[in-house]
Amino acid sequence: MREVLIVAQREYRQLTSTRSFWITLLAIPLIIGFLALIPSLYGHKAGASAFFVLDRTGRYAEEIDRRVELDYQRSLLAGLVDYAKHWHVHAPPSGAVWADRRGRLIDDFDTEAFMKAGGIDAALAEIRPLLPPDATPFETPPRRFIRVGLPAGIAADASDEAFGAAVEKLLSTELDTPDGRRPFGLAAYIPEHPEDRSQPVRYWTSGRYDGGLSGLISGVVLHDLRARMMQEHGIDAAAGLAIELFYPATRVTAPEPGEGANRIALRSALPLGLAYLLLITIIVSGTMMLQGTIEERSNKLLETLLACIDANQLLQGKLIGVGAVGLTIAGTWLVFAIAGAYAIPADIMETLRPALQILHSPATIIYLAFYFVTGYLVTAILFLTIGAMSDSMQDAQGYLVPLVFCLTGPFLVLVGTVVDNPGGLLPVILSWIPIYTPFAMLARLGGGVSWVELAGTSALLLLFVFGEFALLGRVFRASLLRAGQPPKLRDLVRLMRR
Amino acid sequence: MHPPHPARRRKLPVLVFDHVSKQYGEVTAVDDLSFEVPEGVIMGFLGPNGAGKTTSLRLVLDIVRPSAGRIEVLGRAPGQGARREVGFLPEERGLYRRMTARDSVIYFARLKGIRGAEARRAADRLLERVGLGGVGGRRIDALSKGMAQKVQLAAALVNAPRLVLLDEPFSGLDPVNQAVLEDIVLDLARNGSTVVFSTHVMQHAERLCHRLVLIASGRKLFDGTQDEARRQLPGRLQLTARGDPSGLPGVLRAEAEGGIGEWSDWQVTLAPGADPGDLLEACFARGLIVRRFEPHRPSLHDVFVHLVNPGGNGSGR
Repeated sequence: MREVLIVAQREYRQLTSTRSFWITLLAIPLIIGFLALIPSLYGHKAGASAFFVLDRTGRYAEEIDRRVELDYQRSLLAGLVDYAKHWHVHAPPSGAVWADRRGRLIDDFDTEAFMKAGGIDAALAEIRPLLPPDATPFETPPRRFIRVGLPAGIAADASDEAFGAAVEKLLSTELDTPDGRRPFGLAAYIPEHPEDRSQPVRYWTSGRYDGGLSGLISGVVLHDLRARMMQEHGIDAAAGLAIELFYPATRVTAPEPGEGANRIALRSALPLGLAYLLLITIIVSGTMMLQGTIEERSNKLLETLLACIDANQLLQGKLIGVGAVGLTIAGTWLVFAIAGAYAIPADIMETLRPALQILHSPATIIYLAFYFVTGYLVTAILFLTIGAMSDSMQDAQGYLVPLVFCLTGPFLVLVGTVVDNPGGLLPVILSWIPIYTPFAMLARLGGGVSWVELAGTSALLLLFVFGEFALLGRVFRASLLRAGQPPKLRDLVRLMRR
Repeated sequence: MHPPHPARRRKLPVLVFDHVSKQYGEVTAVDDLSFEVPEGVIMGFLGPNGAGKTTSLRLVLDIVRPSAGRIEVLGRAPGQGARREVGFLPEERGLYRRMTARDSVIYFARLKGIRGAEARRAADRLLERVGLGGVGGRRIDALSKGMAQKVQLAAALVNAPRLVLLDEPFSGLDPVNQAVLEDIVLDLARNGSTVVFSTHVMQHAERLCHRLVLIASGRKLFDGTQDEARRQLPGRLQLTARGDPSGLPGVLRAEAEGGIGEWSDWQVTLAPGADPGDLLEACFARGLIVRRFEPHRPSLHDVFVHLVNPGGNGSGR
């Protein structure tokens, strides 16, 4: 065993000293981290945008401001509801609108009630005594829209064409607001007679920061026009508007994050991630191992090695050494992932919590480790044998391409189907084909698998690993000192029978 | 000139081939091969290309297994136990290109069971011995081919082996390094190691070997000392005499090669077992006047060609 470990140590040192190892090790986490950073950069910029309205009727400015404020207050209330729920504030003062709403949607009536009750400051004063000691402060969401006056150069009686021509120059600029300079979000032109369908209400946006503002302004105009039409038809406008704005209290019962429809997807996240990690690790470290064996063949040093140790020890040492490289890569990526998870905001982490619940079961952890290790062994032996049969990477390509295709093809199909139906025909069939068992079972573990299937596929997988080790081990040994062309398929069968 | 023979030492066989055969499918690489190598000798393992020398050495190291027969290495079957006391320099040499010379030797020392500090000391000593003391820290791919070969030799000897197997050790070395290697081989034998080396260059065998085993097509053609090998060839001598030596006792054949005046030059082939001294005595006894009498001592090259290709015309040189 000592010799095996010496070989493993050398393999590990050589592989981890290569540039490709470090690129593989660091590039993927850094790329993922960078990709994760992009939305947050976007999010920072999208904090609040400035808009202005040329209202030729002179009737809507006040109502638009009221609706924008209502929209902001609604976002405060929604944030507050989530905040109270996150910190388990279960004993709110009776009738508090922010209390656990059990899926009840927030409408304008709720928002107005919230505002009447003193808004965010009053609500926070109520909540504060009920919070646990470790609760973080409530983060006030930023305003989304800030209305500014007409920019210089735009006359209050400008035509829509002149207004549009002036606005075109402002689309990619920032405008002065009471909160400093903010990116241009939207410009609205309300004609003198919006009820005349030949005079449309027009909007100019940068395409980035509208966020539903045009709909909000259209709603204001619409309600006003309808009230006027009611009046013209002798209908009580106030009553009509009340009828129009009436909204029944609505409660939506949906699973909590990590439950119900999302349960399988979330619980499958970790095992699926591990399956994917396994696939990448195997291909990366397998290719390294293959190159190492080819180097030994082409450098004619196998005979020197085999004068010190036998071929089985060499095979085992290589498997352990490159396995350690694979585990190093997987472990490092996991560390990056955990570090990244700490950087995720608490509410998102709360959503992801069910994905980690799978780790609460020791048996599942054992199965995760078992499938990871056996999955590695099943495929690593294949890579190693290809290396032993090949004098160059060019020789190896003939075997390598079909192997990688066989590994990745069904895996990609599997990932697509397993979340929808972990017990579906394809995942079950793949579970019983040993070369795919580790991937399929890892992917299915989150969705729940029967003990019969677990035991059966594991036993078959173990038998396959031993058989593979015995048969391909013979090919490996016989191929090490072979000269000439790589063996053909029938030669492989002959070598396995030896 | 013969190397000093370890005659006074009791020579236990450190390597025994007992009717060993090795088949690769239809091909017989080694065919019923039997020989013994006594302890402390330097044995030349000779044979033409494809004779089965490399396969035989691989059999000793248990890299391949015999199809029939028995092999004994240092009193036991080939395998892990025996390997630790064997040093092997293969014909096709190679090392890990990105490893330093020193690390390469240490690595093989550790594979042969030598622990860390001792392995490092042994590596430094061996590298010094082969003249590479100053380049231990250089990577193999930065060394010349000859230097890399010497690193590999150091790796082969790092475990102070009782049995050293060298497969074509002189190929690729310049004359200076060949001399260094010859010194090392002699040193090994002086220190009690048994050395078996295969070679095509008979001069090395002639200078180094106590014993020879010659094989061709996997079969043994000869096993013995250099003197015994030479006796495999009929004796020859050149004679200048006033008369014909053909009828003299012990003369198998006498071919005239010209002469001056009444003096004739003769190329004389002796009958098997005949001694040149007896022929000289017979010349005087029969009254044959002799002006030149030059017995020719056959070289190993002659023996090699004669045994490997008995019907050929290359013998005699």
